[in-house]
Amino acid sequence: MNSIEIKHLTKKYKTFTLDDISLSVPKGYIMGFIGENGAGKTTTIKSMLNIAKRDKGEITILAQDIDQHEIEIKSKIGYVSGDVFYPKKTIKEITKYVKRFYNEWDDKAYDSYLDQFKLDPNKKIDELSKGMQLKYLITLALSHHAKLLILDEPTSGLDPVARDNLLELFQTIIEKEETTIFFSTHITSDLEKCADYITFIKEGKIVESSSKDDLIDSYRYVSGTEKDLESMKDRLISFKTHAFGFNGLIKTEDVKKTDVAKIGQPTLDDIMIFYASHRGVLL
Amino acid sequence: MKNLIFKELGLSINKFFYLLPIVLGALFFIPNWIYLLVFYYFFWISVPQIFGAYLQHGDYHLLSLLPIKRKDIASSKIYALFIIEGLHLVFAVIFGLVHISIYGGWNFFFDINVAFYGIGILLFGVFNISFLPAYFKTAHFFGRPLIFASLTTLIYGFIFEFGIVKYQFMRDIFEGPINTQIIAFVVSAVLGVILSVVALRISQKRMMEIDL
Repeated sequence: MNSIEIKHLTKKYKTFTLDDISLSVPKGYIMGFIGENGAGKTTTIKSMLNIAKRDKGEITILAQDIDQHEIEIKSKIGYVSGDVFYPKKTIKEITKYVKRFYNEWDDKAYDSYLDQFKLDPNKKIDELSKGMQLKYLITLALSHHAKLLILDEPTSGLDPVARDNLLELFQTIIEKEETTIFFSTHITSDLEKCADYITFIKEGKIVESSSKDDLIDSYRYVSGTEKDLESMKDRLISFKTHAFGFNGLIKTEDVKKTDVAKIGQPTLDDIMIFYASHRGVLL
Repeated sequence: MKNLIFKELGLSINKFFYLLPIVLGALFFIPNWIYLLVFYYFFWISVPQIFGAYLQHGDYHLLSLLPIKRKDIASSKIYALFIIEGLHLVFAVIFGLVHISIYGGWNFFFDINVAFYGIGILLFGVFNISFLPAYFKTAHFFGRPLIFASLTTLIYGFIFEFGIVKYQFMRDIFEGPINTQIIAFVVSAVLGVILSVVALRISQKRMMEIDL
């Protein structure tokens, strides 16, 4: 069963179009949603949650249609965007109002997450570090036993230690709560640590959506001399030249046995960087 | 909806704006004044502060993660505003009665009488229909809608305050016998309520069409 199914999602702005997005996230897994800034990650998330009006597309979340069961779906999911709210209010005050919206709210679970994350309920939101603010938002999401966590760039702005802690927390949540996690990021190293599936978006279009291993396996990182470059230039997704030759990215299926350049496995970062200049030369 | 209104009144709107109707009500102690102005301070002080705070506090960020109907976002904000408008009217009545007991009923401008409160309710209706649908075109920008609403309400207020000083027929209707005043009250109050309900309906519809 899929926790999220998006079919042909389209949203047009004056200068940007989210074009025919289709993807699915299997239940109980972590899917990373990657793409450079402005690729359409937040727009996709907002459109699938009806926060932004979409022009076209079918959205099924937890086996229910978002248009017909919006409230039901939203009471079963936890959405964490990078935006904070009511910075001058205390954790206690905000929770008092938020909990009323959830029938499944569990005070015991809430208290235990506050303890686990060392969150003081009497602290104001703007007295918390970015990492602690995020933990509070995750606490809100988990205290009503969300079946699906949707996180928009949760790790951006966090230091490496806080990021690592958060990624460990995601793993724990998946194991303990049987939750599905869909999170967008442009810090691809985070996904190498914890994601099962990856969807890669570029300029409002999905480039790839598959398991992390399949995705990495479908590309090869190439480096060689200028002479090597001439023989495989047309097959490269993109490349950059330097004093000793070039580095580039190629589809695994496009590699020929006769290629003499050094060929290895790319990182997600490599895939994203070289795709940023698809069919062109990186400057 | 109940939870949303509770959130509006408890979390989003500063407690000061529940106190302001009492503070502004004290303006009724000024003798011989344009008392409709008391209501305008609500438009000029409370409204920009309340709607500006929604932006400043990231209220729509919170709303975007709650399991609520989009239509109810507009409704809850408008009902909360109606409640505060109601408070202004209630304290205007209380301080108006105190004014009459101290200074008597006569005023150079519009008297504080039954018709005055009907015109007050209609004033809120005119404000609501001018401001709310324009604000909910974006649910973010309140500057232009507020300027527009201030202009319409100023024109509206001028018609009554100036008209009563200048024209006998207006004095006969709005400061005449109690029966005429009651009719003026009922007609203007009903019109005020109708305008407010229309403002609510249009705002709900507009809220459905925008991105949060």
